[in-house]
Amino acid sequence: MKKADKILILAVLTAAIVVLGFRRITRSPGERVIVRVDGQVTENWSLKEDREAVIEGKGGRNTLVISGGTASVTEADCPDRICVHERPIRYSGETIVCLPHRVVVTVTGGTEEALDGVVQ
Amino acid sequence: MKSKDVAEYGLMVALAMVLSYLEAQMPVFFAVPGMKLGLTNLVVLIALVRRGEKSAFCINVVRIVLTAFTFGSMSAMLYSLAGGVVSFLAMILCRRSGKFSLSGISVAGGVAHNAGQILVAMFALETSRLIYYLPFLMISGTAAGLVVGLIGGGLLQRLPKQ
Repeated sequence: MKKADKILILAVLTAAIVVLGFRRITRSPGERVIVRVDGQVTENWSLKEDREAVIEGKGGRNTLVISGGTASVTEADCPDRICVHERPIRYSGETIVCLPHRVVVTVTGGTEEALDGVVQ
Repeated sequence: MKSKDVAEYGLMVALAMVLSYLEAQMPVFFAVPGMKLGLTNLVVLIALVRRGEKSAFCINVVRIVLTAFTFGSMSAMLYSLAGGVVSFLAMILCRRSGKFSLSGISVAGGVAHNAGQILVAMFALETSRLIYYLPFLMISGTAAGLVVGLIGGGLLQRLPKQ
């Protein structure tokens, strides 16, 4: 390996770790769970109320479970099922995505995005 | 084009398709969309060093289109093309600078591949939320790129000279 290789690797890793560290320090507990299908907000639920719901994505369904202040996708009929393997989310900004069904689930702090959902 | 060249291009495309297929069959260990090893980039790296930029680019695009038609879907092809083109640009820039070894070129390709795919997904899904995944993918892209680069370097030494 040359010197430039090491600099490149260190630079990329440092940038990623700094961003993750900053995110961790500034993270705040989430309030709302926003579901978007194809960019449109379709659901806006409280993260505090337990529920199990089926999301109608493009070409398939995902089952979203909100329980004990965390949200996770427990079932999906897409081929890769990456969304099912993703960790449960609980902090503002955390996201679970199902690319094949164009579904994006995001936890938010519950201020501006919640209003956005009401307007919809 | 000599018949020997035709054979080598054909072999490379076939090998790249097999590696794409193998990678798609791997169970999901990584719970982040887009996280992968990028074994197929081995072929692209070797083509880049042995055959030059134009040939490597053609092999890559042919591989992506054929793989999508055979095993994938149209949307998978879009993501794959975006990742493939951005990754290729990053790799030829690094290679032209002359400052990087195969490992550095491969790391740049891996990280750029992930960044390109996130960008396309952000447009396709019309949400900037996906940027959330970028730091995770930068770390995995670096690790995967390094592994593939080291394997590629070892392979190149063992392949017969042309």
